[in-house]
Amino acid sequence: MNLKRLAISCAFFTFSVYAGLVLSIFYFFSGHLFMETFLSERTLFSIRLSLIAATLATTLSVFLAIPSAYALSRFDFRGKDLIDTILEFPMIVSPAALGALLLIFFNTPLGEALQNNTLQFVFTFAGIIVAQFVTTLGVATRLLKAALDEIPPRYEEVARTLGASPLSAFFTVTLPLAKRGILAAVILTWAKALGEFGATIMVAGSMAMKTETLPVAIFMRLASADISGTVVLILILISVGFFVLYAARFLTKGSRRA
Amino acid sequence: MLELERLTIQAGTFSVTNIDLTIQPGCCHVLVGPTGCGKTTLLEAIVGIRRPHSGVIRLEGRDITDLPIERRGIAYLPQDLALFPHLSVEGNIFYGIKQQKGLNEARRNFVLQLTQELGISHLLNRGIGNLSGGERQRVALVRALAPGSRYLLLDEPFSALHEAIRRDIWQLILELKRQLGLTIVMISHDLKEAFFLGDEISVMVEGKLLQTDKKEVLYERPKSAAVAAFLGLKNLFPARILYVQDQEVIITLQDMPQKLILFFKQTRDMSELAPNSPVLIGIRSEHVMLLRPGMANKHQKNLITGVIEDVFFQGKDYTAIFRPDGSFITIQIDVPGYAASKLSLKRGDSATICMCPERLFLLSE
Repeated sequence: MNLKRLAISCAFFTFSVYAGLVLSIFYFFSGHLFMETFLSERTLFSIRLSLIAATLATTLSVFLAIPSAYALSRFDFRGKDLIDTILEFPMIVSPAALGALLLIFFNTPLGEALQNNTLQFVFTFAGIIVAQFVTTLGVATRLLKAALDEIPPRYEEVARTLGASPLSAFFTVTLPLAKRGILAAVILTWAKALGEFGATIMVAGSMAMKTETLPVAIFMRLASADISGTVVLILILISVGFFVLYAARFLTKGSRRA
Repeated sequence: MLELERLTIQAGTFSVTNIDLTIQPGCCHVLVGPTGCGKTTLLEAIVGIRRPHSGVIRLEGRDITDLPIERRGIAYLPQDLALFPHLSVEGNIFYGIKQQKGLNEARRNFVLQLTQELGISHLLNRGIGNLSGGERQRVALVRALAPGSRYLLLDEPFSALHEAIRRDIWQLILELKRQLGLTIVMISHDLKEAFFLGDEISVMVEGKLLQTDKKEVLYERPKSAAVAAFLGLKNLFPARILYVQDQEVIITLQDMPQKLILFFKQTRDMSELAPNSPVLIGIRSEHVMLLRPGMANKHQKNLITGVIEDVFFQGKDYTAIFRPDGSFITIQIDVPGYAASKLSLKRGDSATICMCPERLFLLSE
């Protein structure tokens, strides 16, 4: 077998692993149950909660990640390597551990003071946002840095020779040029927030009609041996996920053409 | 006037050191030098992209060393032009004016007039991706000049253009320089371009300015072997001074029995002309005269007999490689096409050359 065939076979095997998993859920799929579960108040609440929480967490992550990514992409400063390395922290520490760390933090005097003076995070909607924010911040910064790295600093330098301030050059040149890359990063961050489970269940718990996001709902249904209901929720999550991944892929391709 | 005083710039392990340079208003100053010699680093320090390690940059008497890029008022054209791909031609051209407070109508009209003069007024609504190489240069030029700067820094922006288009752009630059009273600092690795555009030329090697002179002086009288080599001078030979007599310096070349005479005034910048001191003697290949058989005259100085070792056709002209009798050195001679046909140059022919004393020059070894 030559290298080309071997490589292509591996690619198809990778595809078949995921395709097989997705197809296997149709063994338990039931059409009438799908609509019933999908339209149930509890499921609709989970969908709504997941979409709102993921959107808010992504917004917070991206707002902090854009300036951080810009600093890491453009400037040399003391501690840059340390910051760059810690971006992988949410990836090397499991989401459950990350959630546990958040719980531990909220039980320290500082965490308690924060909760007493601002919002209650443990077992609340705000807890979901914090869990998803902490899980996605590193990824968002990494993806946005990659998007900004693709824009040569030369454009900003030239903009400044034309009289633009650093801030104006960033908003009128760098940001529009990195638009597609940033959009793709935002979508992928949103998808990661939507699928977040470990940290969310640790911080916000699994209270029906209160903190039950889609991934938590899947866990709850499976825990109560409701396979058909689990399948429906998985299908919803897969549909949203595929749509988002396709959109990100399309935008990234577009950015390469530009 | 743009002045650089003892400017030192550190770029990683490389440094540009102790640059002293004064560029007069209305002058086109060209920086030439081999790749990696620090030309772009120096230009970036003037623009403000790089912070100098030490030294002062003055623009019209004002110290701009620590001034942010946007407050220096220096127009800059990088090698890749860096036209903003997300903006149209019009968006690019008016970017600088939009950054100024309010859209100045008079300036807008001036820029529109400039687009007409440069023949790009019909391109205003086009995207940057739909422009030819020459059009891109023109758009980048107008964009750089639109905010009204009188100082223009060019970092080899024409290097990727075809020869014919480059000549058009060179003429355009000279025209703009006259019309707008521009002071230009330009980097070029192309000597033809440097001599065409430059009033003054600086040769930079390994982070140091080796020579700054008017282009005619630089061409005729390089100060050092490194400058001569960069300027493409092929005939540079180790020699020794025999003695100095009246206004003449008598020297002998290694590996060549014959003595050569050159005029004392050709020994600029040489503090010592002591007998037996080692020097380098040089002559441009186009200044060596190849004499027709029987045309040598006993009053001519520095006549050398030898053999034509090779002849190369260079398109318009010929280059002959001449070896003096009893010598190991070879002398390169540029022969105009019409002269070459009259001489009917052939490999292996015996020949006589004349190296006029006023064309020879000495360099310290």
